[in-house]
Amino acid sequence: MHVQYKPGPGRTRLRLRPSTSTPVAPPPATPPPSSPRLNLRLLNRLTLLTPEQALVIGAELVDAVLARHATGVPLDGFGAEHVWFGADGAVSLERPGPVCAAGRSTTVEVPGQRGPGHTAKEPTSPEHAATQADLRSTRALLAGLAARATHQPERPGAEAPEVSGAALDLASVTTLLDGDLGAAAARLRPTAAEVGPSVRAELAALIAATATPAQPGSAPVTRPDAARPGGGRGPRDRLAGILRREAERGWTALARLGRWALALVVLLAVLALEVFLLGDRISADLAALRAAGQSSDRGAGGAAEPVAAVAPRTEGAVTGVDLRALARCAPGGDCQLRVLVRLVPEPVARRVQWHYVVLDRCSGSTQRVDGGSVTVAPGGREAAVVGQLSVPAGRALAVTAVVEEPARAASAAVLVPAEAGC
Amino acid sequence: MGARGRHLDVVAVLAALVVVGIGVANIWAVAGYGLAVRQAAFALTGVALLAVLWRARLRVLTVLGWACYASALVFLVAVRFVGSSANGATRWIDLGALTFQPSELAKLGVLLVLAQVLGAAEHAWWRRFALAVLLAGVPIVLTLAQPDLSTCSLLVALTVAMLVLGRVPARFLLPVLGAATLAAPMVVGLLRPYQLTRLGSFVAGSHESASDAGWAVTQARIAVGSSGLFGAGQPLTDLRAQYLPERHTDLAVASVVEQFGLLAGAAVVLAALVLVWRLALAARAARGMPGALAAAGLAVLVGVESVVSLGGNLGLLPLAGVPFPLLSYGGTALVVHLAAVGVVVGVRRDGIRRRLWAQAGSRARRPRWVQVATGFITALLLGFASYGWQVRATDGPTLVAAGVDQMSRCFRLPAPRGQITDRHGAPLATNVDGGPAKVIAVPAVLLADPTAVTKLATLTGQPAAALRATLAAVPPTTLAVPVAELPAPAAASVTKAALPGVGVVAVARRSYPAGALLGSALGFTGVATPAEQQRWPALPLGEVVGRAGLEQQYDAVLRGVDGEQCVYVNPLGQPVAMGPHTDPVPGANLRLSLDLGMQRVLTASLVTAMRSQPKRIGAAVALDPRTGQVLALASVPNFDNNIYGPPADNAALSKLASAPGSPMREHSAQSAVPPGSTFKLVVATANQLHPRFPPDQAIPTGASYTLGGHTFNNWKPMGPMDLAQALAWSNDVYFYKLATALGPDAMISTARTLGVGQRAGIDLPSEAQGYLGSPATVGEDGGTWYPGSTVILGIGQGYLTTTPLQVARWTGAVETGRLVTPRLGLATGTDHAWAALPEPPATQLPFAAALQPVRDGLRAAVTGGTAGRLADLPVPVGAKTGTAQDGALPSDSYDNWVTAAPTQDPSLVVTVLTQGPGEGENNPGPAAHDLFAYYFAHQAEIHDSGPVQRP
Repeated sequence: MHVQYKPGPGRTRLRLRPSTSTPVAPPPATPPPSSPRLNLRLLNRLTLLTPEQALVIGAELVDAVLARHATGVPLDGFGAEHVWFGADGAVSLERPGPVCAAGRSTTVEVPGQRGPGHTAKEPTSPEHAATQADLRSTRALLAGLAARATHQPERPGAEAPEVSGAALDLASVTTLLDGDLGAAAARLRPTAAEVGPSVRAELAALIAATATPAQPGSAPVTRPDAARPGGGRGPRDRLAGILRREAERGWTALARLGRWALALVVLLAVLALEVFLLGDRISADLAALRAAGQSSDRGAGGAAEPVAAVAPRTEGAVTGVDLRALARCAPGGDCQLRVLVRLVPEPVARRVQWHYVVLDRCSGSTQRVDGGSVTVAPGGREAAVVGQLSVPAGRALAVTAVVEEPARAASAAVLVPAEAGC
Repeated sequence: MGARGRHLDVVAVLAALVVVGIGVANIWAVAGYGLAVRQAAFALTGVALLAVLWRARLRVLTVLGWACYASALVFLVAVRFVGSSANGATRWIDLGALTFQPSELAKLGVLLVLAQVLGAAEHAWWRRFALAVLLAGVPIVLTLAQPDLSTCSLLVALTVAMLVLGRVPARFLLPVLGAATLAAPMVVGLLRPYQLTRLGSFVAGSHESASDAGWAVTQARIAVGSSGLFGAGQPLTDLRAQYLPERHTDLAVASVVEQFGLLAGAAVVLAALVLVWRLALAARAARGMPGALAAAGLAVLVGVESVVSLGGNLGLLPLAGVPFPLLSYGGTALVVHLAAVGVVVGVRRDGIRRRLWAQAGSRARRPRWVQVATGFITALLLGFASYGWQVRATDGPTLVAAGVDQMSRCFRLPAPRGQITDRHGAPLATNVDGGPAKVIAVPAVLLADPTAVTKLATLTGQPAAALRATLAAVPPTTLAVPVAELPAPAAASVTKAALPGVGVVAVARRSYPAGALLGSALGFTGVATPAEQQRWPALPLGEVVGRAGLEQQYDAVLRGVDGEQCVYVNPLGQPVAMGPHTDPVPGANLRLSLDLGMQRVLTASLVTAMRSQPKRIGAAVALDPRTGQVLALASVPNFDNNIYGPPADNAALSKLASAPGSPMREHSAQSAVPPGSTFKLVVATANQLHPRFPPDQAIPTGASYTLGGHTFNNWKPMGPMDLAQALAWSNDVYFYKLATALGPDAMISTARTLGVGQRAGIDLPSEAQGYLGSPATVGEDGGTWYPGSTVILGIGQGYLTTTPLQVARWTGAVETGRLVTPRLGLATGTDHAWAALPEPPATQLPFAAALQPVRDGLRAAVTGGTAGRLADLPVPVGAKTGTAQDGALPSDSYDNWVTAAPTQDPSLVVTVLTQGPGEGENNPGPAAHDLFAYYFAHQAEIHDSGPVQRP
């Protein structure tokens, strides 16, 4: 994989071009002085680490600390800015100035400068206190790596989420750091060894893409954008440029609003012109659309309200209610109706009571009209009655018989007049 | 699982596979094994592609996108030349056993290419925008030309989504939006007819388009509403599924719900949602803008397809013909969608594995509004799913009924007609028990069971081959054919055999035990004619109804509620199984007020009176003046209504049609003749209302009365008489003078008060109104009211005709002071509950107290006047006789009347009319006498009609 910068129109673009044909070369044992490098703080700003990347970094960080302690010269605390990645993606630990590399890197003696991770507590034994400070720093960095890799708040010692085994390993290791640092390293090494080469290759590619060659004695890179070749600018610079240009053009918010309003007015004007010129055709199209939506065999009946059932057709002991007019009925007149209530036979006498509901199918209003009652002798299966109803006035009515006793059930509606629309 | 394995978006892949699996199961259920295997093969191909593309590097995917796009264009062009057509569209390339739909490939091509173009930050926006529009426009136009509006719409939606997601500045997008706004009104004109119908059906609603495009939506709603939680929950699911069109493509969601239940449908929606979200989230994991756009674009595409398809299934959106992604049948679409999922899963994998290459923080350029769009899609899908659930909850029963109704065809099982009895339960019209029955068969169902055919042939006594030939000769959609008519025992054997597709229907036979006694009053039944169809609009064809007399008047009571035998049919209308059976409900019985004993006596007397006058009519009515109940109603000549059958006695019917005296007319109510001297009761009543002659003042009479040069004779010379004497002897001159003194208006107004010239309101059809002329109405009719018209009106002649019923009515009114409405119907019901029929209220005469002189005259007619024949009755009665000249009769024939009622607490009025000379046996008096004698001998029994409730 290699990275190239390709300037675009007016700004600089970073283009990553993965390459599988060219394998990543193994990192050199000692990076050349001019090779690009990057510290962990900047790396955290640049990207979100995968759990595997965090694990490998953590493992190499622990190894680096162990290596440092093996020399008998602890760092006395360190921070993310002291954890450096070389061009090969390998981790090294250093103070400003001399470099202490882990793994395949060499160790450089660090003067007594203290970074942000340094604890101000005065040790009773300077060497022991410095070692403990290194342990605290290591634990804090590992916890941060684990948390960032799982998008969790940085809480040292917190339980790692289950989403990543690597992150879990890393987080669990932080709990070991109070004691044996070697045990932590042993815990991390197997997994780190499995994914280490690919992770280091990824880190190396990123470092190559973003970092400037480190000059001996120069300050670490703190603004990746500023390090881009070709003088590329960051979003803030671009935004400033845009605002500056707009200010130069005199575009105020009011002017912008006016432009949009003008565009809307133009659109509405053109739309009105379209309707004016093609209104007939549009109307015809819409009429065709409406006509197409209606069934071809739909009759030309009126738009009377459908008659909704006011009660179930059967309920309990009532197995059916049938309503018929003895003759054609008309609104505003008397109407004789035959009510037939079918019953489940029972060995006791029962009272059958009903009323009528008259629905005005045009207005939707309903009116209750008293019916009557009869007593059915034991064993009776039905009650047949002819009732007289004074039908109210209306254009299209529907009369329903509603049985109240022995159970509530309703008949189908009798339309009055039989064929009527509103 | 190793580190690489964890980069696979298992959730997205599983969600996709869930939808695919349910889709294959649905296809298996509704389209059969073959199509399901075919779809499964496509699914395996798609999964293989997914597995390959998931591992491919982005550069490969870039190449793949352009390759898809280019090949899609090539195939879209090729479709125009070598494509296969269906339903008016040319969308497919036939590859022998397979068909390929290039427009589906175009979706993937456009998605990947636009992702590349819009994500290429090195170009200026205008270049990217223009290139994207150009690249998308070509396949869109080619797809539109097929025509494939649905895919075209999806490509447009995809393009718009990609432009928005790709952060194309508003200054480019808004003009396009404006142009679309301008073009929208013109789009309707560009639609094809079927597209117009689909859109119009949505606009109008499926209920307005039951037989066109709305049919599909209606079926989908029925499928959803009829389903259970875990399956159809209803019998005949397979048959119901046949009614759902496009059940494995456009309406696949509804089909899944119908086949496997609402939870399966919910699983499909949930899986689609999960897939959409995983694809959308993959956009966040992508390293670069192209990959992120591809992921976000596919998320939006799958989401839009899901929303449009689900909305169309539920009628919430036009049925656009958009299949549900991964669920609906379609090899190309399935493979392309799975491949696209593979691409996005690969993009996500790349982003995770090479996260260090991704730009972080604010510098990262991501598709915009991905989560907004995904959230909107989520809201729509969840809203639609909730609506579907609500449809089942609220309209479920209605939709189940609609589903059953549309696949049911029923034939009628006639209900037995109710009986008509006299007031004591003696049958007057009844049904013949144990008559023959028809055996009917559903050909398609019966033929499917050869054993049943053979058995039925044996039971009906015909060769099996002949029966089979009968069944096979009819179209397969035939609902039922009669195959035999058997006596009751044999028919019972067929019923007992319970053969599939076989039913037994009793043949209706009406019987009138009293024969001609009440022929014209009872009427007859028959198959409904157009006249009856108009009277009863809901009548089914072939229904037997009452067509005359009381059978017609109370048809609504007597006619039962038909049962039905339903047959389930497939969408072609071919019966496939027997459906529910509903027993008919017999009609209610009708109890008349008639007393069969009185009816026999009165009819016999009347027949005797008319024996020598075969061409004349006789009529008699006996009614209770307190209630209006008609106790006897005789009409001569009459007819035996049994001749109407069935089977009809055609010879007798022909003879009846030409018989003199209109036998089919109930003359008491339907014949109006001059009332003669019975009208003197009305004139005498008018004198009490408009006093001219004091009732006790003797008025000189004599042999004639002359007015204006015209002489009006008395029926015999008489001396001075008061009102009662004049009534007793029917003194014409007295009434000539009284009429002249009263003038026409007083007489006519009084007559109207007593119901003269008006229908009495009896519950018989076609009652005659009679005629009561007045100077005004006669003039309006072109006639002239002379002074002599007033004179002869005094004796019931001239512009006046009445029915015997009207005469009986005013006689009763004079005796009781109440004018009643004659009623034949007494009650309806069964032995378990008899309910009285409505009784029109009687009209109380305000001048009743002034009528005693009139009643005295009636009594005097019996004790010493023209009605002396009734003097020997055990109960004192009053009567009035009359003999009227009738222009319709020869000069030696008259309308001879007698009307009588007891003078104290009258419970019976008898009016008899005989046409003829009026002498000897033709005299109406004996008929009245005989009836009174019978009545007084059986009065208590006659009025004891059993308990009747008043509802």
